[in-house]
Amino acid sequence: MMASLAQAPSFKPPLALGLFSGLTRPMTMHATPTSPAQTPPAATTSLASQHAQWITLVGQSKDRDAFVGLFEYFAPRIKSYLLKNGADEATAEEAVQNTFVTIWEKAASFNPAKAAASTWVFTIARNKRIDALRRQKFVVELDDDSNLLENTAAETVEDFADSRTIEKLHTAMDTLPPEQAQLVRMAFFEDKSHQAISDETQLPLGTVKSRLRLAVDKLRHILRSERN
Amino acid sequence: MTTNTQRTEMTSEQLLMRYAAGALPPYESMMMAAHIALNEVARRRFKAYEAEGGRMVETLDPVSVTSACLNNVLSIIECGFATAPAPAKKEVSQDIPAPFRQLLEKNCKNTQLVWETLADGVAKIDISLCGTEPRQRKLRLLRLAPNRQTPVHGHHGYELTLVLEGSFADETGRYVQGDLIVLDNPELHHSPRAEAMGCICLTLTQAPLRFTDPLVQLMNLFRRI
Repeated sequence: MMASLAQAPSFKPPLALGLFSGLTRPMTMHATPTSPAQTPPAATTSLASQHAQWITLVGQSKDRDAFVGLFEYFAPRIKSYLLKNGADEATAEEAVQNTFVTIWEKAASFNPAKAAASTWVFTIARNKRIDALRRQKFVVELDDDSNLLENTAAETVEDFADSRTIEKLHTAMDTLPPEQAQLVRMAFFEDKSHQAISDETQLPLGTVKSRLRLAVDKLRHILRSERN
Repeated sequence: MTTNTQRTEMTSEQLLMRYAAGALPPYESMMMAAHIALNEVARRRFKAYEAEGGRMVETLDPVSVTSACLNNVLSIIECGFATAPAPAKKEVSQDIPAPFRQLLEKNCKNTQLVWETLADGVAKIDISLCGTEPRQRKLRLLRLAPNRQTPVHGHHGYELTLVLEGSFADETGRYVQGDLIVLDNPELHHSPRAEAMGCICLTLTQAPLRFTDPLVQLMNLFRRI
């Protein structure tokens, strides 16, 4: 374990801290003096850009306050995601831990123009979940797919198109009938089998399958309608 | 670039979504990683699904995390990291299309990736990712010489094919680089033919192919496909 240090963290709680009270503040911090997180006025900054800024600070200057801010916001949500995906308490905590070690390690590669902070954190947590829950430890590196193509000249255009598609999917998910959206989340983001969904929602298996097919078709049509 | 899907529960859209959610087995993951590396449209949709995952995480009800968890993280990052050992050098055929070659070198268990001739104008490389896949399932690179046609065959279980280089055509259409074809029709018998530039595909099959022509079966020409 780390050497304990008397200094209490100078960290100011992020906006959303009130949402969850179970989290204990870190007991120890480190000897290296940390510059106070350059927290912009909360009222003018959205939570999302606050998170992006924290990741950038961790990447650029290994800012611990920013890192703890990220932890306090995302760790309880990632744990919730892992528990929903069938992890037990201990596995979930360990995967949260591994997620944040990787966040610290890879923060310098975060590019706010390319992905939202929540997306970036999600992809890391997802990969840790794959590590933790699959006996066969295997994950294809997903995050550096863009340099496989060596098409950097087209990147700006591509980023723009990406964000349009992302917007489109958000809208599409929001316009799905709630019962379909719920099934999509369960099937794809909670990794539940059709049977498990049927058990949990008390819907007949056939209904689960047909609703899912309907929902996926709808999403596909909306995403394709712009024809890229 | 098109994605053709025939009569299947596992559509290409579902594959993309499940890949973004981290819910696919290794072979399918490799297939989709190569697909989105080669196909801009698929990559964009994949990223949109990842963003949806991020949005979902934000909307989940937080579950309290023990203080030990953060303390562990802080003590681990304090220690610094051991740099990962460089992967062992592999013997790799240089005509494997570049984007996929990188993906393979990084992720596969094979000690060498060299073409093995199956028949005149047909070569394959079987890919091993974690060594725990059922024997019947095969992820393989398949190379067809220009204008080479495979014998008519059918499939047990669904088959995924991704065109890595060149193009081919069969009874269902014409496919070019980046196209993902999901076949899940036991009735379908086809005989893909490479076009003028030849074709390199990545295929995932659940079971050995069923050759329609008894003569081919007899000759056992393609017994290893």
